[in-house]
Amino acid sequence: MTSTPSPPPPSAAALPAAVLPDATLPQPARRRPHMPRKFWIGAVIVGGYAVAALLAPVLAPADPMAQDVANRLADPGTNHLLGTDELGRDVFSRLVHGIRVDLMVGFLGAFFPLVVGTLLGALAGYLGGWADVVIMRITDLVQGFPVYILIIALVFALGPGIRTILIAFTAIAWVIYARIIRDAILRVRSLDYVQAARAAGIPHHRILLRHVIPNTIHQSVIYFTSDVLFAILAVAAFSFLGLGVPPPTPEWGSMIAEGQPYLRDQWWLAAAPGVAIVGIGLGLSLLGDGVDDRWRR
Amino acid sequence: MTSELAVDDLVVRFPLRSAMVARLLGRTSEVLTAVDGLSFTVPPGESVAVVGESGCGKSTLARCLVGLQAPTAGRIRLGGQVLPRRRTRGDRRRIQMVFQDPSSSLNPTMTVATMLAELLHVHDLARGDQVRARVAELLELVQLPGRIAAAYPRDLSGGQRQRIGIARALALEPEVLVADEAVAALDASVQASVLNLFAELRARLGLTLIFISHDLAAVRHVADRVMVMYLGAVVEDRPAESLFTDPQHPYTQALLDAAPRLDRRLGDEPSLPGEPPSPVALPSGCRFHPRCIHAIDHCRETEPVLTGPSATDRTACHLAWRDTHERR
Repeated sequence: MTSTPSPPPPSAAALPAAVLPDATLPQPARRRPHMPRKFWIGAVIVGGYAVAALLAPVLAPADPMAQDVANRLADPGTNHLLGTDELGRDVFSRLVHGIRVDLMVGFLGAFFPLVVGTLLGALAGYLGGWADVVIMRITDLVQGFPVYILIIALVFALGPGIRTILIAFTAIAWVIYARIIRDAILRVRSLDYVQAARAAGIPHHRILLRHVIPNTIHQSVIYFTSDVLFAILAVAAFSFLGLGVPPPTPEWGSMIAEGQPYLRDQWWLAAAPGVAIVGIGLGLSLLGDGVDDRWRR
Repeated sequence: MTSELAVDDLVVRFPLRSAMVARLLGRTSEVLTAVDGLSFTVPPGESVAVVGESGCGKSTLARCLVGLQAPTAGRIRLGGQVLPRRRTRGDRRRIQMVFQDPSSSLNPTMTVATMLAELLHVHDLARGDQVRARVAELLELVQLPGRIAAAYPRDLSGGQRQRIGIARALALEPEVLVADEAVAALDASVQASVLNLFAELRARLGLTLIFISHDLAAVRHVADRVMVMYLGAVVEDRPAESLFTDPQHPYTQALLDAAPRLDRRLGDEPSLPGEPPSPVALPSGCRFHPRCIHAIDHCRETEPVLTGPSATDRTACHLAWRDTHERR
């Protein structure tokens, strides 16, 4: 673009101040700043897990369900990278297949609440009135309950399994998203640039999509990354307690539970899935933190 | 192309407590009167300043003009056509506003070009290659270099942002431009250049300009005519020159006295005691009488009518148009 800041000559002479640009002009407009390094470190870690989950059948040397009782509790070595568990199953294979279960439950367990919460929160914030009152009182109700008690009650009512866990998470975790989005919409709605968009006759749906949501969604997205971790930890915790993913399926929480009796001699049975959880947690936290930093600028 | 702007008996009230809650509590619902029966007309191309202390209803008036606030009563006409409560896109386009705070009036996730292009697109004012040309033209109009088109608001200084705010309003080719405290948030040196820009744009585009400010001195050089508002009503509405040289209403006199001057001696107290009364309980008679140093009994009982030698030279004071010395 040819940039000729030609001020209108005749009248400008009479108005000298107008010719002076206010303060200094910016450097040739730069693009949005890049994502911070921690975002990329987090992305590589989470991406690595995701790839491992996809390639689980290729990466895993053995069938994660195949028992070999004669060879139980074998030490880590060439045959079994991380040894075998109490039923002689290859721990490394179970660990890799476990990524599939835990990552899926983690992401879906945070994604469903994100969708439900954003929808209900946006309704409450944008419509106001009775919709706001009803939705917000329900969030109060849900938040008033101790989370784990509520999940345990739902698991008992619906029976253990991945489906139950997802339903339980959605029923509970949506309230946070609803609150975040509602507050953000209320705040942004009264801001001048939204008012200006209204005054300019920009239609409602366009204001929501281009002016309100881009300036509110990031809080939910940041929260989402930490919620995935919460869901993974919760699945592991419930499976550890025997309320989560039913036994033969490889899952980190139940692997830790199964390895617990052998902590003294075969500590890696519990440690390996534990490290896997710490790893994904680190990756997600860095990712979320990076997005947060990026948006705060 | 520009039309006459007319405001007829505009009233805006805000209930402070909903009627239902008030009934439950067994109390009457309180109502804040922000704008209390404003009437005026602005001929095409005129520049009118609306001046008053904060809370006098001038911003509410601005929001009514651009259709962001529905009036409780009264109407707004543009070129003889009544603007409806729910304005169409075309209606909105005719009256545009420049906001006070340029740091909150621009969407931080959009570049200048995207922001302007959206308006051109929504109003179908330019297509394809024309969009880019029109954006460049708008930037030139507000005296910014073309490369600013690619910048985000955070890359710009306060004065530059306010120029973008002006460009945004001009993008819709409005007939009336409402500037709500448009220079109040800027540094003094930048204020002058933005005020000059307004004066120049008005001359160049033939815009009707409604310039809202709390600062009488700031509007002196942009306004043909000044309306002084107090507690939701116009107390003086006169050509700028006569208002500044011979203010009729005691409130206007007080505002002029309150402006900082170098020749003021210590001990010269400003002649405006106290704060404006609550707009929830308006005073009886003249709304200014509790703070007026000239108030007589008549002022406490009867509300003065906004009147004077002509429709654009009016004062709402029982004591106006009398010999100034008689009052002092």
